[in-house]
Amino acid sequence: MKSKFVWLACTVGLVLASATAIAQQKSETQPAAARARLITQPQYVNTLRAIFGPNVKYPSALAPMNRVGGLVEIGASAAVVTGGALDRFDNGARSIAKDVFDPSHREYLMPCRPASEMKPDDACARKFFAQVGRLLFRRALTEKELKAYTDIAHASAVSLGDFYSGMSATLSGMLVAPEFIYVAPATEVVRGHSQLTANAKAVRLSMLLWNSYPDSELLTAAENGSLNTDKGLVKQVDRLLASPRLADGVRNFFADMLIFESFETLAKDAKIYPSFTTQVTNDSKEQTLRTIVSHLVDENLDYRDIFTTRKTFLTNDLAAVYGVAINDPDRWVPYEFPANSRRGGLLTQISFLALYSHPGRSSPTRRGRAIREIFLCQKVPDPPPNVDFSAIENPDPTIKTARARLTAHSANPVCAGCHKITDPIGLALESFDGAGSYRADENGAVIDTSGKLNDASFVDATGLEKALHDNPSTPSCLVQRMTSYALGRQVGADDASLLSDVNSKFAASGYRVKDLLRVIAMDKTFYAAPLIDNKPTVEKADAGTSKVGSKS
Amino acid sequence: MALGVSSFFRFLTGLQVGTSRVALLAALPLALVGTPASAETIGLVMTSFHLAGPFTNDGKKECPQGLNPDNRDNFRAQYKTPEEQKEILIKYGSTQMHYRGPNGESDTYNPEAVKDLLPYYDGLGTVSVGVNLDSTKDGQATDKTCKHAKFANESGDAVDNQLFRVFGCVKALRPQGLYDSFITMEIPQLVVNRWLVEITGVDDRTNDNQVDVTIAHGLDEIVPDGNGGFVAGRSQRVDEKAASYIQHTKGRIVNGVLITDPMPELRITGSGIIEVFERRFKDARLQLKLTPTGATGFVAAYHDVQRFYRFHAKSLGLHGVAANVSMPSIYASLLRNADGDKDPATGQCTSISGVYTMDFVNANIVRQSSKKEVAEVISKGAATARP
Amino acid sequence: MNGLSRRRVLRGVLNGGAVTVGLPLLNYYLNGNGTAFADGTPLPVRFGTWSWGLGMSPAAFVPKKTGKDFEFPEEIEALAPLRDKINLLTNITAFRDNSQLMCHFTGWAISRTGNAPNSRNLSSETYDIKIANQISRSRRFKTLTANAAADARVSFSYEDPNTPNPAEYSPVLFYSRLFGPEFPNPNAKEFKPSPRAMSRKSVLSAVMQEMDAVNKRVGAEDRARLDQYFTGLRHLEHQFDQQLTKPEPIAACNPPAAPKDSDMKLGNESPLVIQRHKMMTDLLAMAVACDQTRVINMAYCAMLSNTIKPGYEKPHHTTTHEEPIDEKLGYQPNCSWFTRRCMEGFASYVQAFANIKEGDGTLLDNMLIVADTDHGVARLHSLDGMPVFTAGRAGGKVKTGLHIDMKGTTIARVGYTALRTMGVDVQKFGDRSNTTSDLISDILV
Repeated sequence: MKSKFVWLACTVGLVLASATAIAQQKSETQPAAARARLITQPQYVNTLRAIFGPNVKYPSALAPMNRVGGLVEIGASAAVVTGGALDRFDNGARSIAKDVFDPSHREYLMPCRPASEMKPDDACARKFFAQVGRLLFRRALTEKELKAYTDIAHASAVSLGDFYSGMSATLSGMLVAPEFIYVAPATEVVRGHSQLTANAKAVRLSMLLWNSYPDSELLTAAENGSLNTDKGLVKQVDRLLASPRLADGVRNFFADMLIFESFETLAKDAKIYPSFTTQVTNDSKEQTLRTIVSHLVDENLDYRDIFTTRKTFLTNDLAAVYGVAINDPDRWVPYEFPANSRRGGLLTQISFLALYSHPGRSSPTRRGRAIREIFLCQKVPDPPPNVDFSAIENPDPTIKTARARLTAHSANPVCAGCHKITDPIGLALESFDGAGSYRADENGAVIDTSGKLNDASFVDATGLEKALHDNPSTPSCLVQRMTSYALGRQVGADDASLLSDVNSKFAASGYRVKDLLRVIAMDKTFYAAPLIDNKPTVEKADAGTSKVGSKS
Repeated sequence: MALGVSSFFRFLTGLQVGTSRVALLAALPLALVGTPASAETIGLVMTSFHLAGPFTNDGKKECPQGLNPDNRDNFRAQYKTPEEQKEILIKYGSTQMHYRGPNGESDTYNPEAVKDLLPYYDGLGTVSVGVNLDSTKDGQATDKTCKHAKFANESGDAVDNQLFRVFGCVKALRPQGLYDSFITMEIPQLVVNRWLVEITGVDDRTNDNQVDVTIAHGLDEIVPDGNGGFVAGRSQRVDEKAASYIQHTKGRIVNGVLITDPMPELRITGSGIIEVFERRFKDARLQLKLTPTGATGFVAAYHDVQRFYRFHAKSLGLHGVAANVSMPSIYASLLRNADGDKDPATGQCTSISGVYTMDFVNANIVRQSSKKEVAEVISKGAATARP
Repeated sequence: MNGLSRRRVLRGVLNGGAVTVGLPLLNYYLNGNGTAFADGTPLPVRFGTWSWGLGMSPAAFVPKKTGKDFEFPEEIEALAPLRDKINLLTNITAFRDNSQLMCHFTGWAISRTGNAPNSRNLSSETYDIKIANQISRSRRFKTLTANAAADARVSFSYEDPNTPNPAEYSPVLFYSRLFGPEFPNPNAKEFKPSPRAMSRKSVLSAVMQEMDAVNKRVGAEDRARLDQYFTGLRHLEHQFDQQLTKPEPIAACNPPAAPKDSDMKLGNESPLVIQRHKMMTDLLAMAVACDQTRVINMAYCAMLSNTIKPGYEKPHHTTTHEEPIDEKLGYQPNCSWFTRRCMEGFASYVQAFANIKEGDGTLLDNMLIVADTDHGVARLHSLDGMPVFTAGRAGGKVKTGLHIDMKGTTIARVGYTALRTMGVDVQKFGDRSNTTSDLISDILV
């Protein structure tokens, strides 16, 4: 009886995947609740690198956040800064602040020179805080704030006997300030409608497209009101989409969607896969992200083709695992697998194959589940407890292939339901071992890679990739994820019309991700804001408060 | 010559985890669509290099009288009292004990001027890998060779390896000795040690009566794997600017072992204790047993005594104390054991036979000159440096 | 070592004189038994957790005898030398009721919160945090959380329902956080308040003023999140205060040499996990000995443990599912191999605290450590038949050396007993079938 229940739960769960998910989400989230987002590690680095340049060292490990609805970016809307997490922010802040005012960097990072390096210089300090504070807090600092920071820098310069040490101590405080590490969008009421303030709009836009806080130009567009006009918005969206920083945004979205933080802990058994070195681990992740950025940003091609494209980028370490030669072993080189290659598309890249395997062997179940959950937005239930797996594990040496093992496994009806969903697609990738290398046989037995995805039959990995490419859920899953990512929350039933609209525009564009981003960035829903505790957070009257800061 | 479907599958079966046969996977499926298959290419890059010979762990068997004294021992034998020793060291302004000639000649650069007083023992033994270089069964003198004791290989064939006689009881050159350890360390570290072997025209990996062999200097690193070996299947560029190091010969594969034809002079760069030099193997033959991930075997050849001494003097002699060698004894032993290129005038042989064992892993050997071909399948976009 | 009482002690001894030279060591101020300060203030009791993944194999783990003279079957053999320092509780249940079942999550979630979760979020903070709020707020670190899994996400300490405390996973980074330049060495001969700390403190005060502005822009739920952050900032401020005050000397505080980068090998091979576990454990033990925190959490591996037995193709978790039972032994031998490594890890963890002298006894005597896991029977991933260990005597409040059959009662009893032992005044713990106010009185003095 128990087993039947599990089977049903599993099948129903999948068949009604989106409906169930949406129904469940409806009760959990209000559609447009603009929750405060905590800055993520990539946003932190992207933002600060844009302000202080690439020569300053940025911390590599802020506290990890939980993944919600398939995305860490949604988790950021619920993440809390614990004591341990604050410690990491604080350490990072101090190391960055020290580096910024290091003699090797301050020459070009400071807009002015102090009259004496041993004494306070309020005018120079003020100039720096006005300029940098505006970029960190995404708005001009108030006169009060500016004075407070200048005063602290002054007092610190006196007690430390050094102008730059005072600047550094003050900057390290700004880098743990709530205004910097939290994005809590301000709203205002215009003609009776609650909407994000222009500055908050600018933040949304740059977070979506660049995965960073706005640059000065975008803030200026917000400050002078042009971002609130259609023409001004178009101009900024076009500018951001055309910028090289779009690659940061697209890269971050896909690293998030593909759960690439798992690479931090990916390990293979060195005795079984001696060639799968740390370099291969790092390069395989980078290969996939480079492929995606090149395909979707540089070439502006059909999203669905990332499952079939044979064009990619390789290093010597990767080429060794793929079994191909590259001509410039010192660098990343563009590479195209030949037309009749077994490789092509994301699923046959080492990143996917190795990530969804065991340390010592492949796993059709993990691979199948990952395809369903990541690319088709379907939920495959966790395996049930209290199943005696060993009863079906047959130590019989005549069982040589994963398919044969799983067939035995599926004799148990408790397991059969879910394995029916994951295995037929996962088995198509069995020509690739747990490290992603090609193999013609498993323990001497021929590998059968045929299978079916819904109604599409295929005989091998290339066929599976084609089936995924043609599956209508593939682009609509991306739309669902991208919209959730943009809004910082799971999309639900109330978003049905938005999703349907975005879906049809995405299809009309030929599934160009740049166009998808543009559609979202131009949609009013993207900037919609609820009343917080039934009040706008910034009354229109406040908008005229005097602000100080560079408007360049 | 054509690669049949069965051998195609055999080839694929041979592909091991994390490694690759050099024939590009890209090229292989073409074989299945009716065009005659091109024969397989096997690319190899050298990962280890050691003097061959019947070494035992404690050396008791091949060196019953112990390991040879070094220059410090000989210095003390030559100058017995502390006063004498001090006087010589002060006279030549050195803490080293190299200036032992009658006029202060260096024992390293002028070995003929110094006579070591302590005895020097050649390595004893009868078994070694190698090749019968002088074609005699007993090592008797011929017009071109000098009398020497032969070794027997595993099959009982007579082979030559006189370098073992010279170095068998020298601590530094024995396995894990200082010189040997340095070479082991430097092979991955210094690209000057990158030794590529490319076997083309392989129709059958087990038995093939004719294959082409190219030996060249490579430009790329070899990378340790997670299991104490080196990663197989990485790409290795041929150093095409060093054209004189690109050398060709023919060979055959017998029971999975590549046996090359003799090469009059095989030249390859190498290093020893950071000194870089060029090795010249005369009348060289390679024998390499092919494995799924690489090859293991040896190079047997003659070495010009004077030349061989010179580069060893530089790397070994200067580290005399630490390396436990005394160069005048080594020089004398090289001349005493020399067995090739007899000088008709003096009757002294001027070169010496020697065998070095080597390991290789598979590599994809690439040439810049073929870049255009590959470029056609490369998508657009400039190559960028690794982040 | 409540700051006030220590200062009072100092004033008493030194007669209010200026503190200028190195102070005598702490034990000097203890009473004759070494169990309390000279003025009768008891030594602080500290709390720790330790966790391992994937339960155990009952045939090789659960002793047949209960009470004092129980035997140590092969899977827990490593703990036999620590018999008088630990308790083993078996036959415990984590009641799921009608909540969704999430393997490797539901079990430990119930253990640490008393509540079967319905999503990947918990229902509340974990109980170590409740304890830390009670006993460790005044310390440089309220809690320290570490693991040997080389993954910051392996943490079973949650500050709120969806925020795990990030775990320290690198000995090098952990060392520098604990004992780097900011470490207020209590035994340092000289003390100079850092002007840098003073300026950082004033920056922080300015930063905290901004809280109001942000709070205005968010709803009630977000305000609760921001409040936690604010608490963190206050704690940071408190750290600066500590840097500006001369710390009291502590005899047992003797930080080890800094680990090197070369010691920081990532990877899940068992020997690496063991090495990392030892390094992290030693750092945690010294952090407690130096009174940098009073609540610690350590995880040997992720619950879905991916520890590798070199040369064996399946990692720990897969092995539990797929290895057949050895008919002769009556359990899965490789699966048990993994559990044994975990138990050796726990033994070394307990020993690390027992090795540090404090008063007449050891640091362990003044601690309560709870070790738990996600499942009962490894092979079945069951939520009944679960084992829990305790270690330490909690300053004399807990008896040790016992094997208790918990007769299928809820695992929340462990959390409830720990909370009460550590002085957190709660009337009950857990919800639905896990609701309990039943102390495990067998182990209480």
